[in-house]
Amino acid sequence: MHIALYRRLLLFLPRTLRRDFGEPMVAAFREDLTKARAYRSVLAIPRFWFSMIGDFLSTMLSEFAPQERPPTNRSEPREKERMIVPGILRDLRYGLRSLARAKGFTTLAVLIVTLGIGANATIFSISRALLWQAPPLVADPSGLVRMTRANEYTQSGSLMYPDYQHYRIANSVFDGLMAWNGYDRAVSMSLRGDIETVRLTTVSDNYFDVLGVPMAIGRDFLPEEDRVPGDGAVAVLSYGVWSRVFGADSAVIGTRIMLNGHPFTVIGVAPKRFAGVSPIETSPDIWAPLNMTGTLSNAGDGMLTRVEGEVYNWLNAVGRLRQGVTIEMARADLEGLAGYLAENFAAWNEGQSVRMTKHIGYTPSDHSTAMTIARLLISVAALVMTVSAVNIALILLARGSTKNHEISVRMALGAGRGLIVRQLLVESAILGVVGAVAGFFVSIWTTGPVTRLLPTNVDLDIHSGLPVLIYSLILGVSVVVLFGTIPALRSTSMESGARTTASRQRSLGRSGLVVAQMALSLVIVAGAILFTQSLRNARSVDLGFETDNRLVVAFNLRSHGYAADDVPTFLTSVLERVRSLPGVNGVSSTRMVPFEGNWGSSFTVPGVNPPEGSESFSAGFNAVGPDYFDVMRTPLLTGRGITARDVGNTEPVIVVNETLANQIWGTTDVIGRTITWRDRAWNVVGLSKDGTYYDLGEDPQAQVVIPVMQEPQTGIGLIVASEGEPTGLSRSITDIIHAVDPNIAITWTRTLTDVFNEEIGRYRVAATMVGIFGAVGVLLAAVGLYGVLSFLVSQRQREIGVRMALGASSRRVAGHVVNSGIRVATIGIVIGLLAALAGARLAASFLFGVQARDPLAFLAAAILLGGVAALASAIPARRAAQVDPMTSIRADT
Amino acid sequence: MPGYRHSTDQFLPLKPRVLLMLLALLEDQRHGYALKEDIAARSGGRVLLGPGTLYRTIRDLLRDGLIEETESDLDPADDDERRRYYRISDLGRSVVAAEARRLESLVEIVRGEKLIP
Repeated sequence: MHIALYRRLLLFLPRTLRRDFGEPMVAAFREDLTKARAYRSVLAIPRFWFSMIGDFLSTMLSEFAPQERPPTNRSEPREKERMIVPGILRDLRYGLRSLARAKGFTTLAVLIVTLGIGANATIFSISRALLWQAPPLVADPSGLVRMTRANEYTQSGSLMYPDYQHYRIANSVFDGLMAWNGYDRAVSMSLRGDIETVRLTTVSDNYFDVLGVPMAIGRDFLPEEDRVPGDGAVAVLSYGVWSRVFGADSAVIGTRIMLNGHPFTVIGVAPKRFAGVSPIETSPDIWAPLNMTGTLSNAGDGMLTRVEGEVYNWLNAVGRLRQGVTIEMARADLEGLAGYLAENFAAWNEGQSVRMTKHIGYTPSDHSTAMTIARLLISVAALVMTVSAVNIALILLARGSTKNHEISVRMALGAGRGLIVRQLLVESAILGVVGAVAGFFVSIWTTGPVTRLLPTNVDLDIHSGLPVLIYSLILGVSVVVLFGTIPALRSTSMESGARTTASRQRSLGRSGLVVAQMALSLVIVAGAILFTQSLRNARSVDLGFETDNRLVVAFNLRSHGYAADDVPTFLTSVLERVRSLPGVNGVSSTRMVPFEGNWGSSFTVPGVNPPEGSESFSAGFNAVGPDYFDVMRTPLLTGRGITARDVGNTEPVIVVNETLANQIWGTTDVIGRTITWRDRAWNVVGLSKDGTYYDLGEDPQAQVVIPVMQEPQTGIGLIVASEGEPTGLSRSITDIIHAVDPNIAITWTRTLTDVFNEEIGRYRVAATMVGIFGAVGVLLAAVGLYGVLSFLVSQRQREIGVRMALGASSRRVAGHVVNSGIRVATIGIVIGLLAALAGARLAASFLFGVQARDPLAFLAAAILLGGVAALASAIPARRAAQVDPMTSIRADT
Repeated sequence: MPGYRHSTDQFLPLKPRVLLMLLALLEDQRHGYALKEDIAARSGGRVLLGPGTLYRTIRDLLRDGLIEETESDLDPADDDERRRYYRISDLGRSVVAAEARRLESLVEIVRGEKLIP
C-alpha cells in the first residue's frame, strides 16, 4: 500500500525524471520503508511518511522552479530572459525555491491544507449529490423548476390533481408542467405466469417530454393516453426491468403485461441510468399515466377529482421554463393562479400559494433526510476547515518570524514593501494550490467509504469531478492566502525599533490562534462524544419488542381485488404454511410495522366520560394475527394475547397497553372491561407493556390491539421469528404467498434489524462523521500547539541557555514550556466549553437519550483535549530541557 | 573576463550534499542507495537524502558531467541488475579540488583572525 501510494505521488514529477529514475526512486523508498519498519515504534511509519512527503514536495517544487545555479554556458541568455519574465512569474519562481528550501515547514503546511480540504471536498461531493446534482440524463436542468404548494403550514406541499391541471393549462410561463405521483407503489407485474414485484410511479403524459429524456426504444405517453380516468393502460419500462425481466429484447414493445391484475401495453423503455426525478427518494421500475392511478390501486378515481370532504395532495410537479422566463416571473404568474384557486375552491385551497425551487432532485423540505444530513455534514466540515485555517495562520506566522531577518535584509537593499508582501502571498498561494490538489485527491478516495456510512435509503451516484476540484482550489487558495496575509503584513510592518513590541504582539496573536483552535476542537470533540453516546443509547433502548431475527413481509391485498372478508381465509392458509417452514420459530401478521406507527381511531368507553371538549377517546390501533405478542416478544402484564380462537364469530376482544389503561381507567386492573368501537363492544382480555410505535424516545402512546380476523385489513404484513438470520427465508415466504395467489405483489421484505438501523441512521451518521472529523480536529489542534511551542523553544534557545547557565534545572525549564502550553490550552478549552454549550441546541435533533448539555460529555472532551495538549507540549519541553547552555549562548552571538 | 572563467568555478560553491556525494565517489563507484547511505555516514547523520533529492542530485551531476554512469564490474549474478553504478568524472575531480581550494582559502582567513588554531 505504501509503495503504491508513493508511485502515485511520483506521477506528479516531471516525466523525464520519472522515466530515468522512477524505478530507482521506488527501490530507495522501499529500502527506507523496510528500515522504518524495523524501528518498531508507533511513530516510525508516520515519521517516515513525513520525511518522504517532504522529500517529494521539495523535489517537485525545485523541479518546477528554475535551477539556482545557471546551467553550463547559459549565463548570458538567462540575464536577458530575466528582464522579460513578468514580475509575478519571478515571484512564483522565488516562492517555489524558498518553499523547497524550507522543507519541514512546507510539508507541514501542505499536510494541514490537505487534511482540511480533503474533509471539505468529501463533504462537498456528497452534499452536492444530495442537494444540487440534477437527476441523471435530464436535458438542460437549468431550465427546470420544482413547484410546490405553500401555505401557512408547509412550503413544500404536493398538489391535488385538479389544481395541477389548472396550473398546467392556465400558466403562461412554462413550455410544459409535468407531475408525478409522489407515493410510488409496489405492484405485481405478471408476464406469462411469472410474477415480479416492481415499483411503479404514475406520471403525467408530458413527464418525459418536460424532462427532455428520450426513450431508449419505443415511445413515451401520448396526451390522449392520460385523458380519461382508467383509459390509458400503457406503460414505460425502466432500462433495468427491461434487461432483467425481458432480456433487453426490443420485441417488448407492444407486449401485454398484467399490473396488479390489469392488462397494460408496453410502449417504451426509458434510457439506461434514468431513475426518475428524485433518485434519492424513489427510483421507479415502471411508469404509467396518472389517470391509471385509481385503477392500479383499486381505489376508484377519487384522487383525480375534487371530492367533498376528501383532500388528496399527491402530485409533485416540475416545469420547464419558457425561453426568457425567469423563476421570479414564473412564481408571479403561478401565484396569480393560486389566488384564483384559493378564492374559488376555498374548501380545498384556503391560503394557497406556490413556491419554486431551482433544484428539482429532492423535495425541498427542511425535514427531508437529504437536507438534515447535508446540514450536519456541512457544519462539521466548516468547523474542520476553520481549525485548519487557524493552523495555517499559526505556522505561517511562525515562518514569518523566521523570515524576518531575510526580509529586513531585502528591504534594506531597497525592495519595496509591496513587492515583499506580494512574494509572501504568492508563497501562500502555492501552498494553497498544492494542498488543495492533494486534498482533492484524498477526497476521491474517501468519498466512497463516507457515502456508505449514510442511511441505507440514500443511494447516491457521486462523481468527484471538475466542480469539486474547483471548489477545493478556491477554498484552499483563499484560506491560505487570507490567513497568509496577516503574517505577511506583520512581517513587513516591523521596524527595528518596534521589534520587541511586535514580537510580543505576535506571540499574543499566536496564543490567540492556539486558543481559538483548542476551542473549536473542543466543540467538535464534545459533539463527537455526545453523538456516540446517543448512538449507544439508541442501540440499547428497550423498544418493547424484539428486533433480532425478525422478518417483515408486507403486501397489500386491496390492490389485488381482495375485500376485507376474503382476508381471513387467505391469511390463515399463508400463516399455516409459513409456520411449517424449517427455521421458522413463529409467525403472525400485523397491520402496522414498528416505526410506521398505529392508525388513529376514536372510541367510547361505557361508564367513563371522554376528555373535556370531545365526544370520544382516541388511541393508536393495530390489527394483528394470532400469537403476535409471542412473535414480537412484547411482554403481557396480565391476561392473554390474541389467539387463533379470536375469529369473526367469537366475542370481540382487544389487548390494550399500560398507557391506555392508565389514561382511561386510571388502573392497570382492566381485564374484563369494555370499549365501544365501530358500534361493537370489545372486551379487554390482555394488558401489554408499552412499545415503541413511531420514533425512538417518543412520549408513551396509548394503543389498542384488535385481532385482524375480527376486523380484517387488506394492507398487512407477515412478521416471522426465525431460528437465525431471517433474510434467507424471504424467498420461500414469497413462494408460499404466490402459491396461494400468484397475483399478489410483495410491497417489501425487510428484517426488523434493518428497519431499526434505518431508524437510528441519523444517530449513526452523526456519531461516525463527527467522530472522524473530531479526530482530524484534535490532530490539527495538537499539531498547532506543538508547532507553536517548538517555535517558542527554538526562538528562546538563548534565553533558556542563560537560565540553565544560571542554575535552572532541565526539569524546571521543561516544566516552564509545558506550563505555557497547558495555560494556553486551558483558556481555549474553557472558551470551547462555553461555545459548545451555546451551540448544543443545534445538535439536539441528532441526540437520543442524552442531554445536549450533558456535563459528562463536556468533561470528557475537556480531559481529552487537555491530555492532547500536555502531550503536544511534552516534545518541545524535552527539547528545551536538552538545550546545552554553552552552545546556545555561543550560537547566538 | 566574462565568459572566460575557469570551467570549474561555475560549480562553486558546492552544496553540502553534492560535495559529500562526490567525496563518496572519489573512493569507489557506487549505486544510488549506497551513495545515500555513504552520505548519511559521512555527515554524521545530518544529511539524509530522500529518494527524490537523491536522484535529482544524481541527475544534475550526470547532466553537468561531474559524474558518469558505469557498467558494474561486480558479478552480475549476485547483484541486482536494476542497479546503476556511478563514478566521478575528471571534471568532477577538478571541481572537488577547486572546492577544496576555496574552502582552504576560507580556512586561512579564519585562521588569520585567530578564531581557530
